[in-house]
Amino acid sequence: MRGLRRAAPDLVGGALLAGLGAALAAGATGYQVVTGEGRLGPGFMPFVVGLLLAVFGALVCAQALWGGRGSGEAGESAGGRSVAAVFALTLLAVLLTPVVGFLPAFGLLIFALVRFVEGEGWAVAAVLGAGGAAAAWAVFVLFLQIPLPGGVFAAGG
Amino acid sequence: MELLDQILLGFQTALSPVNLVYCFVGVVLGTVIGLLPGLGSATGVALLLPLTLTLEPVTALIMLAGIYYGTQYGATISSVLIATPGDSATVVTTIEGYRLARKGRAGPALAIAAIASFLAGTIGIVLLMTLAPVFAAFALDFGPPEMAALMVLGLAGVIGFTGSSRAKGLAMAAFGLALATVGIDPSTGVERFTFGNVQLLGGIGFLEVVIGLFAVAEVMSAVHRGGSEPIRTRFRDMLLSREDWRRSRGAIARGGILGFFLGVLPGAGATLASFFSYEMERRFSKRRDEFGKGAIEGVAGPEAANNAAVNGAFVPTLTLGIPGSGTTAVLLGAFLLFGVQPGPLLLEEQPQLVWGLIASFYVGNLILLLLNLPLAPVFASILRLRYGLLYPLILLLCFVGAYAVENRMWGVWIAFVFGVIGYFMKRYDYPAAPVILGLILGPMLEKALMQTSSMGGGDFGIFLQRPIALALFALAAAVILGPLFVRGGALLAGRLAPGSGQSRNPEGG
Repeated sequence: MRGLRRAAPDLVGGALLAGLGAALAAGATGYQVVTGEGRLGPGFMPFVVGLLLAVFGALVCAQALWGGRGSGEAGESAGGRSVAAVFALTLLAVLLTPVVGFLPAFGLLIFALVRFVEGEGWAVAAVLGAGGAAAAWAVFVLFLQIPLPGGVFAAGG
Repeated sequence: MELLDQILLGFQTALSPVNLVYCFVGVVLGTVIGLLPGLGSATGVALLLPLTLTLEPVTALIMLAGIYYGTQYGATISSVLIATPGDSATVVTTIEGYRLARKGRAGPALAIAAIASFLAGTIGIVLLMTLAPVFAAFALDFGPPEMAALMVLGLAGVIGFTGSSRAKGLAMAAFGLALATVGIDPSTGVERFTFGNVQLLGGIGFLEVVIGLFAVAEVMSAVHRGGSEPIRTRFRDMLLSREDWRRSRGAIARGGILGFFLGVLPGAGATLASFFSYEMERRFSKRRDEFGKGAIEGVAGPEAANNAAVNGAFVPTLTLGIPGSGTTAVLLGAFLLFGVQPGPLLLEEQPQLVWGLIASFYVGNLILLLLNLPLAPVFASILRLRYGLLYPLILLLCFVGAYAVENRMWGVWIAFVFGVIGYFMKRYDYPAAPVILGLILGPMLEKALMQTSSMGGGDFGIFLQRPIALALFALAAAVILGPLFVRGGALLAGRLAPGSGQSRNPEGG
């Protein structure tokens, strides 16, 4: 058996998938798996797929424990933190969208990423943020006529 | 002759000014996307799909396909110059291509790659034009049982584009099928797994998932890895010597034909084709000692193979509705978004679309050749852009695109959530392409199974009376179980040392 530490990521991943599969199969029994006339019901596909997912998830776990190779990364590498920062800032931008509008929120996101995550100067960050938002506005709103959400300060959008 | 008329119709469509412009835009964007390390062809198509939603279907598909084969050209440039493949199909090009560049022969390496891609693309298009109608005619009287079997075969093909672990690939395909069951069941109208959420009634949108799994996750992984420092390379010229050409032409022909047929197989795709071609050239070369030190045929063969495989992958995609690669899975989703159902009837019902698309491959390949021969050094300057300044803009494009699919914030949320999931999938080596395949083939498989069930009055014994369906099922079983038997046999023979399995590990498809 390989070291539990190395096997851990695949064990967790496999267990998550197997659990999702089991839940899907269980949920599917709430719809009709087979109808009265013996035909397939709306629950059939999720039931079978759920079982398959449970089996394959379990297989991933088994391979993590007894298989020859693993893919798990040991420990946290230096890049891990900045990915978390990028995800967190992106989440913030999505949450800000209904308030300030789509393009301002994502323009701010670009600014924050370039200034704080990448450590560039204020001017570069501001130009990229404003330029990116303006370019997206030109392509999507002006050219493709897709109404992006304007936020609470803009009427309509 | 009828075929000739259709080809003519195709070229008329592809050469109309609007389509020509979009083909040009597609191949140029594809080249740029291919150049950028980490952004592969599937990502490129997914990222730019929202931009095409307002176009005519044929125009949109011409542009998207242009992005697909354009990325192969662009990816070659970064493989040769910075030994960082822009797409998994050009991983093998780094072996000889980068060595040639180090020897100061980057120009000839790029030139032969462009010429090999063009020539193999041409071989591929001719084979596609002749084989597509044959495939379609064969599949024309497929009923629901055969279609169900075909979908299963298509799903079994994920084995071809899984990385290190078959179990993970299969689990990911099942995950995709599971996602496909969310929403209103098309055959009975029952709401499944919507948890009272109105947004989930229409199901989980494929494009939003693709943007998350491919584009957002790719960007995050690149942030995680840290950018690669581009190496400045001087170009003497792009001229090939007679010797280069003499050494490469055989490799191009072999790679082109091999690539096409591997591309046709579900799941095999361009990555595998390029590896096979490289192995073939290395093994049978008279200059085997030069391989690994910059052998030009080691660039020409794989580049021919991956381009021909792109064309090959369109045969099952267009005529059977089964994608041959991760990117064609995304393209299949694009067809469905435009209300076009690929399958045996497509050639008859929409000849203009199919032949226009195929003819546009020819036009696009020609544009790429003309652009790449003189301009590869110009494209290469994109490699000097700092990734840290680029990825925030790519993220913006991802999320505006996810919004634009259905003009709702829900799409942005889906892309974000799947971006997080996809990041961890990439990090722990779960392939993303099978998820997309499952998500797209799931509803079709379910429909075919329902219809089969109705045909047999609930009795699946009907499959036993359908020899073609049985043969397809057997083929699917062979695809899934075959490698197991081969490995088991090898283990018994004591030839396979523990841990010396396939060390190849391409990213995605």
